[in-house]
Amino acid sequence: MEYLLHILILIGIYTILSVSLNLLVGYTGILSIAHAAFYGVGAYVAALMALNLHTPFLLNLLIAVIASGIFGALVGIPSLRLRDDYFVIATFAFQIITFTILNNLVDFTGGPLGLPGIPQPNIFGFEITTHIEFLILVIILTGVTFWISNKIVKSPFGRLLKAIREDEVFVKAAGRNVSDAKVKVFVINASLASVAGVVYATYITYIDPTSFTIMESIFIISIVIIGGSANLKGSIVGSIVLVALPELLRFIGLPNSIAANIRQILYGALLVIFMLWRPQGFLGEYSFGQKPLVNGKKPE
Amino acid sequence: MNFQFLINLLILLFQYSILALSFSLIYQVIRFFHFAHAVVFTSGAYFAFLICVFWGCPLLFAIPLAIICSTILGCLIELLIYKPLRKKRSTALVVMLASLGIYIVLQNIISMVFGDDTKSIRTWQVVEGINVFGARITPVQIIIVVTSVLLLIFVAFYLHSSKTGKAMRAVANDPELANISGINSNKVILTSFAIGSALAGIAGILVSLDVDMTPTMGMNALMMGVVAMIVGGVGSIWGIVLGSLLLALAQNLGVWYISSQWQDAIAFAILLIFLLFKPEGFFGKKLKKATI
Amino acid sequence: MKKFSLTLVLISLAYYGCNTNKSNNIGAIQQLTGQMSKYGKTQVAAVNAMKDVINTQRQKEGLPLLNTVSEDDKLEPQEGVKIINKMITVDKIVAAIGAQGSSVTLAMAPIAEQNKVVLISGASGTPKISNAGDYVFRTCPSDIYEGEFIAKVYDKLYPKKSIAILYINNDYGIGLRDAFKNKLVNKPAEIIDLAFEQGSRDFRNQISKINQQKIEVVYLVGYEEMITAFKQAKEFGLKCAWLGNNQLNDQTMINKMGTTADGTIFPGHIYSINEVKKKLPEFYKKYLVYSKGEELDVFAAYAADALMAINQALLNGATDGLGIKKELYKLKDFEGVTGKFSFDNNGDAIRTLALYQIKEGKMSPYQLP
Repeated sequence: MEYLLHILILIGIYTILSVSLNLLVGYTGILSIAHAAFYGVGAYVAALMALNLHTPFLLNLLIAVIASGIFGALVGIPSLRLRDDYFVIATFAFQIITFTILNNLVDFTGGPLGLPGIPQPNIFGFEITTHIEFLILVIILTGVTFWISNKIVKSPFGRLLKAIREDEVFVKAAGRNVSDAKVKVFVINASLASVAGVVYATYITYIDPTSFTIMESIFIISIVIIGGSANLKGSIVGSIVLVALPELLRFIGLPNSIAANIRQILYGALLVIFMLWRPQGFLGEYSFGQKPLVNGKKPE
Repeated sequence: MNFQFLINLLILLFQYSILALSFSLIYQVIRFFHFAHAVVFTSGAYFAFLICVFWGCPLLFAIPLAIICSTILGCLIELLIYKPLRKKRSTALVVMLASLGIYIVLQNIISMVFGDDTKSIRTWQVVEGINVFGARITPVQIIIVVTSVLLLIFVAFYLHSSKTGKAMRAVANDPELANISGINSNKVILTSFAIGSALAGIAGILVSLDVDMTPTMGMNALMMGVVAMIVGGVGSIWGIVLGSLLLALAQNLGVWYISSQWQDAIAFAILLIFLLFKPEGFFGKKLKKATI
Repeated sequence: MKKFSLTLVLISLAYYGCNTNKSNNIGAIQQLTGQMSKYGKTQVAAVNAMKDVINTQRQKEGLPLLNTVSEDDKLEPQEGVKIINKMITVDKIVAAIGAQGSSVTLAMAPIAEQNKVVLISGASGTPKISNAGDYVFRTCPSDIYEGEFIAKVYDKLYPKKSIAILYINNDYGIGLRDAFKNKLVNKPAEIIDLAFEQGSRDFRNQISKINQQKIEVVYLVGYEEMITAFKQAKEFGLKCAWLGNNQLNDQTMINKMGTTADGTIFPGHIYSINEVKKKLPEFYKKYLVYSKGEELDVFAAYAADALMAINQALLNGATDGLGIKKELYKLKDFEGVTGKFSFDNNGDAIRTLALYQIKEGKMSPYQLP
């Protein structure tokens, strides 16, 4: 039972991460490899506050979200002016720099030694310690994230984002402030990611920089793409598939020395296969992943 | 700074240059990040290991064979994965993810077959390097530098003078115009992959002759090459050399004065500065975002 | 169809979950992919080999056989947490051996503690594990112990000589560096800290610095990176005395160094491979089969020790985590693969380390003068 609950909690955390990233990648068409950095910032801010200032969970959550948002603005404002593929490299650079800072400021963040013993959440006197209690917390937070994202997507702002994805130049020519919109969605995606970080820190009660590397960013991107870009329910599906499926593989008896490599290979192969045959993922919009037609003819 | 510092700089500079060059040749014509290039680099070393150690071939024969194998690997990736995706008009994001998937699959295959520990193709004893003005350099390192310089000159010459080279530059500059002029872009792309992968394989072998090989050595090496390429400017060989120099200098100074822990952060901070203030690098051309 | 199969899976997991009989499963949680996976694989091989040896004996005595379940933690703390949860719920493990990386062990410790399942690490050295829980043990010595041990060696052999600590930038390297510096008595005028990243292959700048500042002793702490470090030091013509960490207690790795590491003094264990071959031939033979020819290294030996200790606790009558824990604390001078050991009241193994020196590419015992 504990195992199942644990998996469900993880699915919840990854749903928060992928729904927030989907707003940026799926709806606005902007790829960022820095998602794990915001995830990590949320986790570290909450952990450091809880360990050093002994502040309550909800306050830590609020401060973490704000800190992540500010960090998102600092990263986004200068970088979003860049061309698409250069923006990706910029986010890559920010991700690596964030990781290095977390890893090297040993006196502040614990560095590679990590931060053990993070206190578990205490919300208005109600202690959250068991898996069931955590699951309820995660479901609530996931629900809130989903609701916020859904509101954004259905609003005129959401339509603007999609328009930017389809044809940015046209939107700019039509007089809309594209860079403003991009920064807004980037900040939102950063803030929501930190919620997942706070949950992670208080659930596992131990964090170290290795949980927030570039591979983690790539994993979250895979969830968004495979689940379905521009479809929030797709992110739930993606989380379930990419978190639960590898667990099922444990029950197939593969010889130990290669089991782990085989699982990685299957993951990589899954990425390649999806890109070749269904780039929009399970539930995504059909046109995602394909360059738009120009005057009805294929561009060369 | 003492002479040893310069020697360290030189070795790192050329290691970065060759890999950056191999990547930029491909990047110029396909315009997305071919992450799998990292494993083509690693495969050069491991093919040499396979041929030399497993099959007992002498190193002199193993190396050219390994280079050919890496080239074939790079071309297969283009023919089997990228070309079909191009036909489907996939966006750069989709191809990048596919490239990442290929990297994960191939790197894990190398780990499974060869193991994750360090493997070596050095057949000679480790000896003190040759003493040059108080600094040390080993014969292998001299070979690395000389080979790299020769390769850089050769590729520069090829790009400027030969028909295929000119075609590559044309496609890199303006694919639509190139197509209209009758250049077969698929053929040009395949040629770029061939040359780029061969260079990557050579780089992998050279590095492993100096510091041995591990299955995961490719990604970090590639990232440094990418930084050098962007800082120097895509499409300019002088730019790549200059970019590699700046990167190697910053990293070495960083290790010397601060600590090696910040090496990666320094590299990427430089990258960010260039991306934000001079994205075309030292000698690259300013690329228009969109033509209306 | 998708919904149906998912529901089916969830139901079967729940069914497994509600069945509370404990089995004789012992979990092995190690790193099986990635840079340090060589040690994870050898540890799993050792646990499996020891399991076979133990089972042969158990079969003769009509006792139920032990079974091992192993998983890859990828050196990721959250993965370890996932795995130990799974092993407790689904495999009903009675104890767990792991992890290798300290970060993973620290993440798993609270779960083990909450569920009253014994967790023994054969490789995690961070001092923080000493206080990670009553159910958390280790058969390897805490890094503090190794750092202090080498500090004593330095004080005796090279008192007050200038020293550089060339260490890997992770919890292990930082832990040893601090333990070493804190225990130094005959402090030199100059101690410089030179870090390097895991998997680093370029030590030229650090070596240049060591040379420029005319450092006389270098304390090298790392894993396979040391092969490249020694090589580049030799190519550079660096002349200094070397102290190493107990990773060097591995002839296979030393073989990759040729003669570049000659003269290095490092701590190791009183056991030697030859002793193991003599005293536990069956184990050694089976180990080589499981490890596909990879030689027995010190972590593998510690992992086997962990299994032997758990087995002894079970033989002494323990039937659950609480019982095993009590029995483990009671063990005194337990004869494992690597010699005798006991657990102190933090659950750390009390080990005696020995000194070795590398001579002409081979490690040989070394006596302090």
